[in-house]
Amino acid sequence: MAVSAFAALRGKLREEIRDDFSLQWTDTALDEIINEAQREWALFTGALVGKIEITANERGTFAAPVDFFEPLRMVTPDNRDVPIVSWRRLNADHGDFRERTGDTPEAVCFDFDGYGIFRIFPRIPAGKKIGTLFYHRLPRMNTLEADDAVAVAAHALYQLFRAENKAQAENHYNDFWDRVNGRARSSQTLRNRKNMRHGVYY
Amino acid sequence: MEKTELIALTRRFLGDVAAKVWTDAELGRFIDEAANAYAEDAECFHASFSFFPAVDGGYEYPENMICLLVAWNRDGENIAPQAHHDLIADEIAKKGVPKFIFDDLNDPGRFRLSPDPEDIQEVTPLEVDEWGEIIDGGQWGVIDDGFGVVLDADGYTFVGDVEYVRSAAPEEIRDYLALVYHAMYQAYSTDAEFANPRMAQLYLERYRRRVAMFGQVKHQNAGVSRAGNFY
Repeated sequence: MAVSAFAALRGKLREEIRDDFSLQWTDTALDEIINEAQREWALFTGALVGKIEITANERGTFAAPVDFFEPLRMVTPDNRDVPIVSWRRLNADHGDFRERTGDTPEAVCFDFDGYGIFRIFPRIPAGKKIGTLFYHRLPRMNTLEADDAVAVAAHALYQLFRAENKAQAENHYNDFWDRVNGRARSSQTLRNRKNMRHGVYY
Repeated sequence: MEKTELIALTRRFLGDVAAKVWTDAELGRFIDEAANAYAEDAECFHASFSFFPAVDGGYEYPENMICLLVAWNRDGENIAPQAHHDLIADEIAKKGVPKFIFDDLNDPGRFRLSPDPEDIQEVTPLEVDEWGEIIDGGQWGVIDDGFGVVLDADGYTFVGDVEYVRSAAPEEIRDYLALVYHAMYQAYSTDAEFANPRMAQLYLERYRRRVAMFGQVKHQNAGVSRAGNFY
């Protein structure tokens, strides 16, 4: 998917809202809306995956990339999975786990140091290569990376009609969710995202 | 996202780009309130502090604290939260390495430790030269004015620290659409002719759904996740 696909989607939206001469929405404004729609799609499908190489530092904590929103898995150079463990489990097993040191990573913890910061347990000597972190990421701006342009268009139309206080906004919102949920249920899509949902669903 | 951008985005969703219904100040207040709600619901913003005693043996919670996450003493053991009525009177009066933490009943916003680390938390005056630098240098717990000039020349022995859930500024929250939805819920709940309880409920539900589902707030259970499968 390339920049031209992004422009094509913008053109399609203009047709839907009957604004072919950019009287209501400029290209920049529409691009913002498409970026927002694609961001929502990426958040709820988890379809976009990024990776970074992790090398140990003195602190033992690392900042996730700016496009990170959820971890996927961590793999060592010798193809061993490093489990993602809650701080509660580390605390229950080791007490004050922050000061423990070791030579091989046993766990990676994402929910202790605050959002966007993760910790390798135990602390590995600085400079040693720990492994590769794969994570669900946000899309790049002004580039259509989603493989479901229909879902992105549905959310964009929801935003556009919502801005004009038109009731059909809700129909497009429901269309967006139908596409997102359909993706998760389909046995034909390669699922990177686990089906278990944590937290409380209201 | 900057707060001004959040306000503009909220306006777009409310259909009030010309600012005929809600002022920027109102929407700014809604956004701040939404950020407070998000930080409380998500509990994903953390900070830490080390114990500094007050003269009467109590400790103050930081202003941005929402709730306690975990506390450890100097031996690496957990300091467990306790309800005051669960502690035996003797435990409260004991001195030593702290094992429990409880709210000060007489003073909201403060807490006490049990055993009381008063005896082990030595306060030692530090030698300071005439232009305000510590002669020994690098003492833990010493406060300076940000330019190396010492304001409080007492050194405190470390007895333990706390990791806690804190509030967050709107700019820190990556799921900014959750803030927008919560602000819309507040806007439609305003007691005015444009109030719309149905829309308010709709956007509150959307906000809650995002808090529950978004990866930023997935509360990890006390378990282990291997390669995407949760045990």
